[in-house]
Amino acid sequence: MDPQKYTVLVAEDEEASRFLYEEELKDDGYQVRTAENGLQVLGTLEDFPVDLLVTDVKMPDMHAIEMVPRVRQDFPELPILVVSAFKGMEDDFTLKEARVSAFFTKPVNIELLKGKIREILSSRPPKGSSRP
Amino acid sequence: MGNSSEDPRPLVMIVDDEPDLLRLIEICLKAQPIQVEAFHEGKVLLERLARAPNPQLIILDVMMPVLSGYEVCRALRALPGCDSIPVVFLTAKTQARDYVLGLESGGNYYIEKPFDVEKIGQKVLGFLAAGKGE
Amino acid sequence: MEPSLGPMKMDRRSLLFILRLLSVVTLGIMQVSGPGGWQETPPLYRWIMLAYAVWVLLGWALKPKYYRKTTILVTLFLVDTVLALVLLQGLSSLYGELFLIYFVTIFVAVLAQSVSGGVAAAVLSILLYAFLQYLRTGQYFIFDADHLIRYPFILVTGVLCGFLAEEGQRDDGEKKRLRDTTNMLADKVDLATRKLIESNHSLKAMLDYHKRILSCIQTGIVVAHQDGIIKTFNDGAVRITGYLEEAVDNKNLLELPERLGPLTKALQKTLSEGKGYNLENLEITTARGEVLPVSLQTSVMRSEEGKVLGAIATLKDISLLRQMEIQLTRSERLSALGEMAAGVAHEIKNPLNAIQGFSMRLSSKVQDPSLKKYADTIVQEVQRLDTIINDVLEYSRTTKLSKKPEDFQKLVDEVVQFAEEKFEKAGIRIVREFDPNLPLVPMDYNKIKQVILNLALNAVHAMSGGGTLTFKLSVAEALGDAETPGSKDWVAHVFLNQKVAVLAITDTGCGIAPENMSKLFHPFFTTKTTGTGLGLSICNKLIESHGGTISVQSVVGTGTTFSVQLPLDA
Repeated sequence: MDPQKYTVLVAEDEEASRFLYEEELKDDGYQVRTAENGLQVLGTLEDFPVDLLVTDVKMPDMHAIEMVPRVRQDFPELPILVVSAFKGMEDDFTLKEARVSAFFTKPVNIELLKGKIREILSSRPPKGSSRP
Repeated sequence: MGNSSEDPRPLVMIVDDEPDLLRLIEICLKAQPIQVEAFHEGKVLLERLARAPNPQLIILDVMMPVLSGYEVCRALRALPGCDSIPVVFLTAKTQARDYVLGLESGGNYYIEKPFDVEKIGQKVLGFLAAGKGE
Repeated sequence: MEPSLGPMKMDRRSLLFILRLLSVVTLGIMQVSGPGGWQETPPLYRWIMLAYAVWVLLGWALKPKYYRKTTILVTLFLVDTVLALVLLQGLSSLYGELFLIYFVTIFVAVLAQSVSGGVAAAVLSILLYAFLQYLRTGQYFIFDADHLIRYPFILVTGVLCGFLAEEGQRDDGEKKRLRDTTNMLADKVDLATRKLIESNHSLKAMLDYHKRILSCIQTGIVVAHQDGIIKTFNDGAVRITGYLEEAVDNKNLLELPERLGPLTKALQKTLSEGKGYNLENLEITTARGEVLPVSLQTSVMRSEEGKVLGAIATLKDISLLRQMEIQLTRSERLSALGEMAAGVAHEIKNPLNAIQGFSMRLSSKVQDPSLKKYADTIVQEVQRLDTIINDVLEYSRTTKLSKKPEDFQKLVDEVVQFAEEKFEKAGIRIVREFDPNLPLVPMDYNKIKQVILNLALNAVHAMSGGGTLTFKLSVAEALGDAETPGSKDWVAHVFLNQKVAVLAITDTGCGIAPENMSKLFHPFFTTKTTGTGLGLSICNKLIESHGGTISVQSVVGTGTTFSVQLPLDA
């Protein structure tokens, strides 16, 4: 599996955390895009081919509970990983219905996260050609 | 209660990310009438257990990347047939909270590192006997 | 005792007897003093005289009741008259007839028992006299002073006798009425007295009953009358204030011991203002010199018309209540502390995410060993932070317990087994004292297991040179005291004396210093060099959420016992 062919979208409003994910994922060789809020997520998904979405739960303009179903509606096949401060998010009905692939609690075990991403992406073809 | 039809010895599985230590434990145990299967990481153990949940004892290191010993224990307890396999934590984490975490994860014994190389084999036999006694 | 009116009845008999006796005696005297004297009296006359005397005497023997019967009286009269007439024939003087007239008058008048009867008797006699006059002298009336004076005399005699007899009768009658009235009154008084005694008894019984109530209740009751004098100071008040009833009873409010100041003032105010006061948290000094927290309530005692009669004070010893409040506030305070800590911890999580990640990246990318050491140190400390945060969040999390009846013994055995190696290495001997009759205890097995392990490891830490660790399982009644922290649930268990399972973990370690005892269960309190100090506070929270309690007893240098009490009914 060639990570370079895959694009991962990271949605996180905290700058430091966003930077961290970006660096870590770039290390693994993926194409990384970032978004600061829900609108940006939806916009990026519209404009670019994204193979996987990692999103924080609490963002300034909308909560993941609102955003994830909307994403799912437009992109039924997109793998979504949710990172939250609460452990309880796992049990959220809306998110489960939206077929979130995995939940991670903060502070995130980066290795675990990357491992999961690898696992998911290696079993599916990349969406589009990579763009700088 | 046996493992493979040929081998009557009890099967013990060990997991440690440090290869030297893993080898050391294996040697200590093999000095006793014990069958040993060694793993470098929890994930592989879990896959193995999912296929055939048949060890009489599992020894887990705690400080491991990706999945800690506690997480492995929790995960394996959820596997069918692995509910009552005695689990021993072998670790350098010796604080009270570590013990509690270990207990919470479903472990049965807690051994501190560094361990007594001479005695570990006997200890494991003891655990195996206690397990059988139930 | 019946008043004796007997003699009155005899009067009629006595009266007649006396009169008749007089008539006999008079006849005798007249005969004897007459011209012939007794010697010339014919023998027949003497016999008749004697007979008459005997006849009169016989009359005395007759029972008084016969004197009421008209037939008897008429017989007496007739016989008397006949005998008298016969005897009078023997007398030559006319005066003898006069005697008969008077006799008749008196007799009939007495018989008639009235003045009018007396008058009738007089008239009858006058007519009889006129007849006798005619027989002797051929004239009905002789008009000379000698004779004329006889008529009014006869009348007077008749009236007088009639009157006297009437009086006797009236007297008799009145005396009878008096007697009857007195009897009736006596009966009524008797009845009234009995009723009074009875009601006195029941009043006394009721008084005793109320006295009993007053003396048996725990609340102290002090009553001061309008004039400021203490009239009631019940046993409860004695118990609470330490002052004896004698020291206070009937004394003026102003004379009460100074220590009872608040009580005195409250009563005075109530008396003067006519309204009650409610002082929930007062402190009085008892006679023994102790300061006692009490709740004091005063009320105005009013008559039915609303006039102020006095002031009533009720005193309640609230020292136990205060203790429980302190326990509860401690519990709630810990809770509040925990909540605040949780809020902070939550906020820290986000920046920590990045710090942790980058410190690890730094560590892995940096080549220079000293720089790498710096990076590793950061990673290590971040791990510690992470641990602390998790502990804090764990502490404040409202743990959802799944309580089921579990085997407490099995739990203890599993815990001991888990840390077996540790005990062995530390030279600690394990002793089990299990009550065989311990029933299943409702609990969240895994959570309680963690608590017990935590306590056991604390004990190990206290026994640095080895020792004995005893696990004692028993059943007891919920006990609460000042040292036992407790939630509202626990207080209820203690109050209701409910049964609990007790696990006492006793070590032979260095003990806990007295100044640390009260802080033991506080979050972040620790005497260890490592660890967050949340262990015991988390344990306490877990136990409390089971409706149970943890308590400690410790002697420095000897050892410590932690007691976990879990209610047996969920």
